[in-house]
Amino acid sequence: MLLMAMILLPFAMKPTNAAGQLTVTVSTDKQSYDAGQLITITGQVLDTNLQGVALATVSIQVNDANGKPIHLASIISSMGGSFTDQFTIPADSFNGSYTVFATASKTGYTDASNQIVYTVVPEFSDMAWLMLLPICLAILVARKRKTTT
Amino acid sequence: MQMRKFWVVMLLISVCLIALVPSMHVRADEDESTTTSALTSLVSSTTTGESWTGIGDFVLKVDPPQHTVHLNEKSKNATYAVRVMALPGFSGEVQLDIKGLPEDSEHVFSHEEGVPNPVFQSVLRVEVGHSTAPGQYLLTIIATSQENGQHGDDQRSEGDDQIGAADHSEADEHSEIVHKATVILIVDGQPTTTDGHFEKRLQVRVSTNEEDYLKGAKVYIFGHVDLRHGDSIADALVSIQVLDPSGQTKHINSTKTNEAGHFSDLFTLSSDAVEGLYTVYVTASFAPYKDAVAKTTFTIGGSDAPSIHVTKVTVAKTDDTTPSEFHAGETVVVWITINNTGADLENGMIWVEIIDSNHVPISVVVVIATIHHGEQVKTGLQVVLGSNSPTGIYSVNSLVSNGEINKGGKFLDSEETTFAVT
Repeated sequence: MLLMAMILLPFAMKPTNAAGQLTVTVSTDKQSYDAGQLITITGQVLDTNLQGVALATVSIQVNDANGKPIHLASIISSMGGSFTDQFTIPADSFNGSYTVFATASKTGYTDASNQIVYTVVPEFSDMAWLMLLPICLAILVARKRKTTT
Repeated sequence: MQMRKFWVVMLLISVCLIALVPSMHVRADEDESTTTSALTSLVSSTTTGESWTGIGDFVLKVDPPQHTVHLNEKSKNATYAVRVMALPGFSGEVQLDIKGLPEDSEHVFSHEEGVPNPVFQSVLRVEVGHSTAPGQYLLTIIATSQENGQHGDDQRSEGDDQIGAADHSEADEHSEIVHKATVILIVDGQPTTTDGHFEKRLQVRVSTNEEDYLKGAKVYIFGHVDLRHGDSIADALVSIQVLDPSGQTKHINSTKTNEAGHFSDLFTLSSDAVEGLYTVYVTASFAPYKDAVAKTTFTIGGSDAPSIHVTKVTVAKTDDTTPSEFHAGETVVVWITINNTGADLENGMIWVEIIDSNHVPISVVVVIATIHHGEQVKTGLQVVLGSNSPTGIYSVNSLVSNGEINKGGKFLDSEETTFAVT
């Protein structure tokens, strides 16, 4: 029984990939964006020796703060292992944290995943200016009264 | 006095009729599409490939011959009607490409390819960007057909046993018929610059003539290089690499794109080729742009991994018509055809992302489907355009994954198409 197990063990094990484990880095050009701004996602696929891996498929999914996918991309890494993706932040984006998920894969290697968070902040809208206006006026009036007394 | 007025009116009507009759006659000739000699004289045509005999292919016609776009107007687009008419004996598929577009402009064909039976029609829409330099641009519309749509049919050949042995002489068998027509685009007004800079990218697409091969078969690899939504790129350097299921390189070659941006390569699988999933990578280089990379897969004798191909993506209305343009508030139905020649894909995810003319992703929809080995799946996904959607050229990104990317899944194949919103 033990002999049988020893013979079958190599076949039962998940085959290891000869070329090794991939690593993927991912970053955005800024940490915070206004709605309507262009976002550039960059990264690099590396091997165990931290050398760039060309022709790896990088799958990208960007989720909003509620975990709903808002953008997808499938990119192949360049000769140096780098990749780039761009899109414009939707004008009706919710204020909050967004997450970029990236998975790198290539035949002969073990897949790698990574993620990064960016935030979307609302632009200072006309409504906000209108709300601020009475406060400014009140301050001016108060100062004027103070100087006259 | 009354009588004099009557004769003046009659004279005016006569003058109008005389002026209208010749133009009506010309219009009738242009629309008839039956007098081939008349149509042929309207276009400049060139033909490459040994198989062409001067008869038995097709004629290309583009109207109007000239369009003017004003940069200071809200609508900065020009549309041209493209017609391909088959001559007796021709039954091949024709693909449309364009060259000569101004920088910062995009284009979309309502139908990029089709079989003229006897006429195949498409609408070419050119969207001129804010920063386009005013001037006169000569646009060349190129219609290409592989010789009656046949290539790489000798799949059971017992030819060259050496994996990776490129057979350039055999590639010549895949001759092309090319016809060109030129039209003029005039851009006037004052260009403006914008703050955001969306990188103009080189784009390459690649396919093989089959998705599953027998050992010893000939593999025909073909594709196209262009600027994303822009010009086809001639003379781009294309490097081709085929990896076997273990990641070993089994074929490597380089070639250049032809005038229409197309490239092709042919190699023969060995008679003892390893069974499984093979990956074809192509890298296109053309200064000053960054290299573009694409891949496709094929199988030999099945595979223990899914081999997914998004073979066709079309956009239609809910009544199944395929319009040349959509409007804000309308529903767009994206039809995706997917083949799997590898292992079963359990709970695969079919995604559609719509990106508007300002590069804003406006919608992501997904369905879950199991695609078994040897199965073809056709799925329709609906997206409603917002009532204030901007006009321009929209992208449809169709992808298939083995799971959500945030849970370690990955995309197995993808395909992009475009449509216009007016």
